Amino acid sequence: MIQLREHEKVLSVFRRHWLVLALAIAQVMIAMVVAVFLPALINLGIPGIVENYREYITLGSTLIIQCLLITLFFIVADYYLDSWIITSERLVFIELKGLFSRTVTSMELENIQDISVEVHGILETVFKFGDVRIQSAGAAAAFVFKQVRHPYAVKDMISSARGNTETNQ
Amino acid sequence: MDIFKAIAAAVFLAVQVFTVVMFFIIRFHFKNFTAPGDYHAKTIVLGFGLGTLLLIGITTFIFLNVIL
Repeated sequence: MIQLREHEKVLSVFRRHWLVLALAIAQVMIAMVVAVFLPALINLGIPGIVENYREYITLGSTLIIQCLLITLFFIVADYYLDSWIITSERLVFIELKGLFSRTVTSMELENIQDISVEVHGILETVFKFGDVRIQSAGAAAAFVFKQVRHPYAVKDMISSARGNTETNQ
Repeated sequence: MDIFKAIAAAVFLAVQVFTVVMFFIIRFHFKNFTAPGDYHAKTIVLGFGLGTLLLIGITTFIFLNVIL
């Protein structure tokens, strides 16, 4: 568990924009509809084949549906278990890379050197989501809040939290 | 046909075992993933996981009953 320090408070928890989840789910649902109608589609292409190989085709169709159900669960779990947390003292990045591999990184607010926002594409512009990249002193790679809602507000919140830390010191 | 039944049953069993194991690994490692007090994510993922298990059980049941 993410252990909070004494006097440390969670200010906000961010996840990817809901549209990212919705698009991923939509792709799986379309594939699922195709799998449900697979026997009928095969019958249209090669008439009579379904009668001869009904068990095999139905087995294949059922297995595809089950794999897609598992994929759907992966997508939902990955969406909800990837989160970026702003506390009063640091930023915490929690990312699942596959279901059984995860990365938890934290960055002290006082080590933040640069914050930038990246919004690419029509969907990100219209639905107001994008990446917030945070560069810290000493770390080669930037830490990224990926596809979060209102990235400019997130940037302001991080800047504000960093300012409060400096004031308290 | 008997070999087909055996293979189908084994494959379905493997899918179900994998799903149950995956679900419980997530269930018991939840504290490592979520922010303090983030019960929202926990409820949704566990609910969705149970729903997936149920749907996989139902599709297996339908397949084994109707086809075999």
